[in-house]
Amino acid sequence: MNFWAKLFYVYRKFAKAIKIYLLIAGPGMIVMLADNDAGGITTYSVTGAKFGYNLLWFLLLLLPVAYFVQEMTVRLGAVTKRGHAEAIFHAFGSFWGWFSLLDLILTDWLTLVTEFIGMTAALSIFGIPPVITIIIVSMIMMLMVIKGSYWTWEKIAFLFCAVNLVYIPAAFMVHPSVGDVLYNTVIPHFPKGGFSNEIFFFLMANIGTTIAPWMIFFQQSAVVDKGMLEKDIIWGKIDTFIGSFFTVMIAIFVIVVTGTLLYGRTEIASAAQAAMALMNINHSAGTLLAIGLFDAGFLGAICISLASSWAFGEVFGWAHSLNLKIREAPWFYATYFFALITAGTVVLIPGAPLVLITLFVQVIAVTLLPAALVFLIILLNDEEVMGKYKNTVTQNAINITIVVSIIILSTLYALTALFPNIFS
Amino acid sequence: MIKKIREFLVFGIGNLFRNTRQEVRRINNRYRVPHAKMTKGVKFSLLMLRIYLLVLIGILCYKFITLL
Repeated sequence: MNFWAKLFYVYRKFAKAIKIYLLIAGPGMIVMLADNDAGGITTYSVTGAKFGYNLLWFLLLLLPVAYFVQEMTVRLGAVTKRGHAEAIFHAFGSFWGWFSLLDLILTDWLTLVTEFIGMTAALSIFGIPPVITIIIVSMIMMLMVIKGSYWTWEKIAFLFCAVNLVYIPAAFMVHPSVGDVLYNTVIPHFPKGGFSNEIFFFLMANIGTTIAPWMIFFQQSAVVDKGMLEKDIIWGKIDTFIGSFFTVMIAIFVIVVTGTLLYGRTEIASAAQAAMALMNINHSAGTLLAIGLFDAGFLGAICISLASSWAFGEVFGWAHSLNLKIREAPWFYATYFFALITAGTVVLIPGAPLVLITLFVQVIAVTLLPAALVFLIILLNDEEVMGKYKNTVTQNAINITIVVSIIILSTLYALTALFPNIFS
Repeated sequence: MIKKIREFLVFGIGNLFRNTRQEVRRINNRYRVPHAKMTKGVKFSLLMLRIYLLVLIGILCYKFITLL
């Protein structure tokens, strides 16, 4: 075979691999980009404004954390063809099943409220009243599922994922020092003054936004709904890795934006506040941050509401697929619309305890996250169910370390949220 | 009109609760037996999880009571 023939062969092989990847990609990429939801963007914005580039290195450590946890849901979904809620009921019985399902529904609904808070705050910057935001957003979310096709939903979700990349041009617009950014990303260190309770709180908050309970339930159900098979696991893993890479990169770019322009200048408490402060310094960057915040809330909302509907459908035995029309899966779509409408309405109630809800989300999520992660590890070690796809010794060592660390840190985070002076 | 609303509230919601109760019972029967292999490690993990959740719920209750 001559050189050109070999090159053409390699090209064809590569093109085929890309084609297969594009067919199978979706759940991993979407869940990871949706992970940077309104709460996540707020955490990164405040981290940048408070500590500048000093904690960028920590975000790199979160890449393997997100990948290894979510990769397990790909294997479990593709092998068992069950969503996480159904898998828990089947493996651990109704007590743990009900606990997980009800906790998931509560956590998801409260998180959905925070996504609506983020979206309304972002569009308020452009003078759009919250009521209009909620009506338009709810309508788009309903239109996304009305066609009864997973592919249509996924393609539209990908569009919103692409909007999530606005933080990259925003970071270039603020002209950061590339050398400083690279140094702070690669060399682990703490800001001047060393390690403090405040830094510890922010590190925990960043971990808390990296792995949320709904992500585990969402990706496993999406893998099942998409019809991924055991032979697709490798592509699902690649999809999850690329998604993890993007989620960390976007987090880094958000911190670069706020770290460059707001560090040491002003105290901020939310992403919307950061966007408004940025607009006074660099209007374009502030505008992109506000657009990104809206998009982050939207992506989070579409995934979270679906995670609940899939879980309900799996357990109650209702038809539960985006490939079904509304009349074919009425309860699946009813729970989806119900969650959307009620969460949106709460944000519009004058005097609703929105700050308390935001705080409550962090605490309630901690009651579900350890259980979901422990169940994931146990299920992935069941040789009868997983066969050759069970966790290897190395995977167990990595995953158990990650899970134990997440449980400890997220518990400390919840305790700090409940009792702010506990470690001072 | 009022009669119809009353009928809906009495029978419709009543039926919904009855059906949900039956549905929950059916699910409980279906998943009565856990299918995971209950090795020592699994039993220990589930015990730890129960203790963890009890402590956490205790802390939440304490916070709730002291807030009132």
